[in-house]
Amino acid sequence: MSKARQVKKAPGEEAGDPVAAAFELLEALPVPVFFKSRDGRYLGVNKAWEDFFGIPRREFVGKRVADLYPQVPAVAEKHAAMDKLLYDSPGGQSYEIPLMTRGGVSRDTIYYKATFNDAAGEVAGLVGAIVDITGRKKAEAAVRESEERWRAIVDSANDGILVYDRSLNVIFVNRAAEQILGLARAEIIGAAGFTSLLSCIHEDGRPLDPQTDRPTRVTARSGKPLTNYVVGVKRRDGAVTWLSVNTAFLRRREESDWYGIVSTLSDVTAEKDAELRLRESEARYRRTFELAASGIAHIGMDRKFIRVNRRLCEMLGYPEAELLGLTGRQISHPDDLDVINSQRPALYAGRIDAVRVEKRYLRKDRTPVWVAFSMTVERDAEGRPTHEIAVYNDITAQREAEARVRESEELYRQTFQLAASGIAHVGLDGRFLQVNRSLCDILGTTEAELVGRSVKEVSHPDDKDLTDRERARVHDGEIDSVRFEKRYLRKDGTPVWVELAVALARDPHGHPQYEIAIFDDITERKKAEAALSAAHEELKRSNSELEQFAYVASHDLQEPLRMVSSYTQLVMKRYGERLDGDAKEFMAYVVDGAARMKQLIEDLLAYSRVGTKGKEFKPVPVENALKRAITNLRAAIEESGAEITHDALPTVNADEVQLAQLFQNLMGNALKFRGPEKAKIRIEAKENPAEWQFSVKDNGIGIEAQYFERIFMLFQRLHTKGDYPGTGIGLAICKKVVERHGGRIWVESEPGKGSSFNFTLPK
Amino acid sequence: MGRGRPVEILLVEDNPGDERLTREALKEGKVYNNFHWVKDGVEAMEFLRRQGKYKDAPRPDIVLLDLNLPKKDGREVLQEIKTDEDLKRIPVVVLTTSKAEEDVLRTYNLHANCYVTKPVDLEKFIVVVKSIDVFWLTVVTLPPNGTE
Repeated sequence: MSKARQVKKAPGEEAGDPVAAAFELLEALPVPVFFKSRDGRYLGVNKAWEDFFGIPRREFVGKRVADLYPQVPAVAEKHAAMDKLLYDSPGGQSYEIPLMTRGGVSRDTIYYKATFNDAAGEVAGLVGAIVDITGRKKAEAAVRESEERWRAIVDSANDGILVYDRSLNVIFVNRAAEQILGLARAEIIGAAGFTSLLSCIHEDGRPLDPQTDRPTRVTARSGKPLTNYVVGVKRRDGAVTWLSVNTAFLRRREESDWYGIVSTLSDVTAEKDAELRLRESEARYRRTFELAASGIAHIGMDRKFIRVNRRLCEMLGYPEAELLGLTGRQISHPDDLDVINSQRPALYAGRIDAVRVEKRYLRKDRTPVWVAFSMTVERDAEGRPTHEIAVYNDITAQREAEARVRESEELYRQTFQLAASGIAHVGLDGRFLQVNRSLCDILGTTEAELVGRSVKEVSHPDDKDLTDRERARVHDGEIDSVRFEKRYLRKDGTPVWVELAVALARDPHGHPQYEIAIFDDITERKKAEAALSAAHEELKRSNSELEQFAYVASHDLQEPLRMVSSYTQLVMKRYGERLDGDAKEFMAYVVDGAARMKQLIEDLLAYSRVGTKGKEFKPVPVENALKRAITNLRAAIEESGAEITHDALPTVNADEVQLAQLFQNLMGNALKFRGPEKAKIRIEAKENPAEWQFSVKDNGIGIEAQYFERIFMLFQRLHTKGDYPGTGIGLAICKKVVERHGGRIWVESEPGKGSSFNFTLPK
Repeated sequence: MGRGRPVEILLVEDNPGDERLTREALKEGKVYNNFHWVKDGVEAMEFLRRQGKYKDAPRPDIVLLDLNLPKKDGREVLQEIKTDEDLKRIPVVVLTTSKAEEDVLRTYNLHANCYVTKPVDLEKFIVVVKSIDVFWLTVVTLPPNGTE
């Protein structure tokens, strides 16, 4: 070892000696170096060796490894085995071996050994050096540990992790990623990302183009890591999994360029669904809010509108922008300013759950609008009021309708009370529910006494059941209302005749509710009717008596008349020769008088028979009656050469015999009272709305206007018997016939210009 | 029966003036007759049925029947005659005061053989009575039941 020391001490002094220089070098090397002889004894070690083992070099020289480490024979055996290998195959060798230094420090080492020859070229021993690799081993272990730890973490992570190389092909995938994507590791590794394997969509549902939009491509293009890049993946099992993708570049230390990208996949499907549901619910709510038929508003704590829907804007007549910022009070009707405010304290104190009022607002155009308003208050988690929610319904139309109903009811009430007719509502049990003043007056009682009593109680005993019979017809629905007459008893017991109209008030389903009865006091009318009826009966009786009288009188008058006439004639026949001139003349007057009297009686009889012996009316073609009259007048017509013409004639309801008599009398007159010219008679018919008007026109002598009425009276004549014979019964009979048929008869005439006798017959 | 037998005439009439006038008219008309006169309907039926004092009365060839009679009026008499099998073939001439009476009677459908309105004119009455004679002659020349 002195040599080694020499090397160290005099490297420059003995520069001329190569061996010495080599030793100097060995001594200076930081690498432990040894020499061993073929028998395994250390020949020498350098300074670095001494330091490495912490053992002076003299303790090595002449010793073998086994001598040095008797406690660890394995080391010595290993070295010996390796030495033998080297001697067997001379050259160099290296191997790792852990060592223990004297200080008890274990070391990992690599032994590099080589054989050296003596001058003869024979293998003389070994030279070796130790490289201490303890540090490197530790580092290697640390790396290995770190890698394992990382792998464990990555594999146990819930998030999927994918690692891409610079070409963006997958070089690593963890288990979670396999599960999330539903793909096997083998499929993924080497692929251009999961987007090339599964079709993907963007967050908004658009298809994701794997060429341009895959997360790693986006990352690489932008040069920035992605955070929460949402991708929907359609898995092979059909489910859509929503992923939130984060990416990061992989860089080596001290390199600015990246060599890969790592991306993490979080399954956010649940959150995404929840979000979608929330968004839908929000949209629904928003739609509801906007489309609601009611006005809706959120009102802030400052009472200003925060949010209003369209309907509310319409209702209040303000654009949304103007309404927001106003308070409800500002647009309230002056009379309804504090309707809501008065209830707010109770709402805020929780004594009521909502404010519900009806109040008026003034629209922007100052017209009032009636609103049914309800409001609740919203609170935060701590129960502090955050805002109010108010709902507004326009009830203006309803209010107006109510007002109209009230007006109508008032009008009805007044009508009810003021009506001259008695009015009552009668329950289905037949009791008065409501009565008006007039009814009380009619029944001579008071409202208090009447209401609740049954109608029967105040009915006349003979008419009690009348109402039941009549009202049954209404209840059966046979008719809408009945009108009948019955008697009631006033409170003082006097009967009162009432004309009663009863109708049934029904509910919208048609079920009877009550009866509406209208009472008209017709007692006076009944009295008048009774008087009229009595007078009518009396008149009929007296008329009948009169006719009977006329008939009997005229009949019985004929008997004595016949005696006078017959015996006068018998006297003349038997004794005429014996009578002087005067007697004959007197007798002639007697005969003539009797004859005229007979005619008068016959006429009177005919006249009375118009009323008493008339036939029933039936449809008669007027032409038939006219022809009959013409036939009866044939002789007179032929004698006078009269010309008779007529219009088309209708059919009327009449007694044909009497109608013929009518024409016969009128035409007979026309023939009788004809003028100097040839008689012309025309029968005309004219239709009026309710009657036919007939005219018998002639060109006869005519009549002066003053006699127009008189000529129709019984036995009234305008001419002397000498000029025109007749008793004056014809027109009286005409008048009676026409009147019996319900018509009128009159004459239009001018003396010398003919007459028109007109009469009407009802249709 | 030949022309040699007088016509048996029964006049039912309560008015003596008319009875006399009828007789005078028969006389003026030179009608050969046996004239019988009863004053009411009851008597008329007794005569026809030969009851009581009329036990021996002849069967009339013709009855002149006034309508207005005491006790039983002409309408009833006519009805009884026309519903009696023995009597219904006796011609009955109803004497009426007016056309109106005749109309009424016709409505009863009593099958009088003839209606004669008593005329006021004597001459006309004589013509009527004469026509009774002619009528009777017609009746007798007709076969039995021919009057119906």
